Amino acid sequence: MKQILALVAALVVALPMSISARITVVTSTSDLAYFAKMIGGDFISVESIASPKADLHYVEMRPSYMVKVRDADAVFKVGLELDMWMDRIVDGSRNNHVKVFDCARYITPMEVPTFKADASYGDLHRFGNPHYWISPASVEPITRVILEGLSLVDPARSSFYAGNRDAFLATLDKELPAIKTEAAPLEGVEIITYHNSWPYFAEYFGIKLPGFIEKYPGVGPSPSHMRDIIDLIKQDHIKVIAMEPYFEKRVPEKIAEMTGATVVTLYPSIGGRNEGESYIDWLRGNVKALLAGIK
Amino acid sequence: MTNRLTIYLCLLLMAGGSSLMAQTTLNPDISLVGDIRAFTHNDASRPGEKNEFNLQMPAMELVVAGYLNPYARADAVVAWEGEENASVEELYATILRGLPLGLNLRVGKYRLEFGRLNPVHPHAYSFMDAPLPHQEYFGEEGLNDMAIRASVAVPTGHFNTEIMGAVLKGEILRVDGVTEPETDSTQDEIRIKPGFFGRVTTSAAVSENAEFTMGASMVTAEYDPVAALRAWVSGVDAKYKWRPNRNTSLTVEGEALRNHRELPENKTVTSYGAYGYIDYRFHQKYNLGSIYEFAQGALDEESSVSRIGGFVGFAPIEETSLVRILANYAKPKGADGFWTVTVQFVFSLGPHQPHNF
Repeated sequence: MKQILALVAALVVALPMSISARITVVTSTSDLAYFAKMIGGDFISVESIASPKADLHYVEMRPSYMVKVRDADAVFKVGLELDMWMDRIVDGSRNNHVKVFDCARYITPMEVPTFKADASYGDLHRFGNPHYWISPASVEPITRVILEGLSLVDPARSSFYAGNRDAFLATLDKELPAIKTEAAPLEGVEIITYHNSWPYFAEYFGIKLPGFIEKYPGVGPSPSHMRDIIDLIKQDHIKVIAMEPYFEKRVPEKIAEMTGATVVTLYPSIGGRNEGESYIDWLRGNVKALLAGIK
Repeated sequence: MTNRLTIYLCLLLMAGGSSLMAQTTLNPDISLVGDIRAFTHNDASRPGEKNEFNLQMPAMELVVAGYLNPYARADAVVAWEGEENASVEELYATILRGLPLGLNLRVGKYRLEFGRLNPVHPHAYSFMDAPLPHQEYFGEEGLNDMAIRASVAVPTGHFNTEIMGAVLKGEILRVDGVTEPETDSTQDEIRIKPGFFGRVTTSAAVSENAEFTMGASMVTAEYDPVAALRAWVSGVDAKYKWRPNRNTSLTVEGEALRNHRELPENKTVTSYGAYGYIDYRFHQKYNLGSIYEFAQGALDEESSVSRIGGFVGFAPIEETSLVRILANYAKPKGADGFWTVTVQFVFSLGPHQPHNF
């Protein structure tokens, strides 16, 4: 009986200590939140600003987001000027001690403009295409930044975080070959996407992206561009038009109707398709959607 | 010789390339906003324009903004309107972090945070111009003054609550009918007393897709420094915005103001004004809404104007270029009402900016 009481007393003392010792992490996206949770485990509380179904180009700086960051120890953002709103939210949070980490730090960006990138090219990102997290190849460099960030704000648990990251990457190493095998029929296949969000994903799976519904990034299709896309689909016998869930379906469905292609919804963020889904579930969901589209 | 010249040219190009990169990463954001309008009305008090197609001289704003260092930002807005000379509309620095108690300090000339609308430049309003009570009590330029402003965030759980206070130079709340000190000799003799500004505001998420914010503001200054007459304007405001996705949003916002001024011979005037609008955005590019405005006179509560209007907007590529049409009907007390129809084209040249709530 005394032992039980001692155990209860120890728990009562230890529980608040362990809770108070948790690191508060805020991320700009649900993907970064997922990776942070994989590494931080129960020693961090993590919250994402953008919903997994949100278009990250159009997140508004709501005052309630600033409250989320007010007590944060670490903030992780996508960078490459995609989530510029995150910097302003941090500014508005009045948090003097928060450390902000850019997850693009170890990424080699694709499509970095080698010309004067002005607005005549649409909403072009001058430091390269920022949709890098969608590729499995980016998990290692992203989690490296998260590990460094968590270790900096909570050095006492750095080896715990490193262990969790190693375990997570090992799980992916085990699961990814199976997904790559499942995705083998996609290799060399051409698909049209609405926005140029998928080059990293396409490179990983060997998919070709010959055209986009948007003529320029962030600029809706003109009638002449629609005609060009229709001609391209017919000429190359393209079977799939892929779009994110936040775009309006009107134009892709019209093009599909005129060409016989299939409109497929791809989810660029973890949790977009199903709440609580794992990274592997999310990735497999997108692969399966494309496989269904090319049948 | 040719080889040496080639090496020099290569070095020069490399140096140029590196300085270009440095400018890309370190230069402030620079943008230019143009506001071009055409209008017609049937207001008998302006017979030259009545029932005619009128083109207004364009207005322009040059905005330079960026971080000074990890702790502070600076913003500058230079404005041209019609054929007037350029004027410094805003020039201020804000210390964002590093101060105790999460204090945020701003120094400079800027559009004070009276309500949610005054700090926003009118070209961003769906209804084009400042609401009637702002025009009547703040003057044409809005509430814009030299200030030293401090603000603190108050811990209130899930609410984002902020209290701010400022000492102002006091060159505000000037309205039509008040003699401005003009000559240098008069300026030397007149000491403009400082004004004061205060605001408390709180916001919270109503749901994942909606936010509500409300606030109360107060400002006081000598509106007539020659006669040493003071004005006090206070107001309450509320805004609700529902934005279920990137393409759709509904905004409902309103503000009520109380104006109290000293008049010559120990008299005073107290008058009221209010406005409210609803703005629905759909298919991302289009918006449609309506606004009602009412204001009693700043110096005479017996005079008043009410106005009701409807507006539509089309912004094919976000804020880079947009067209708006506003039709409103104004009814001054004791005079005939009149219609005004305005078409506005606004363009914004510069880097993409994060979207405000």
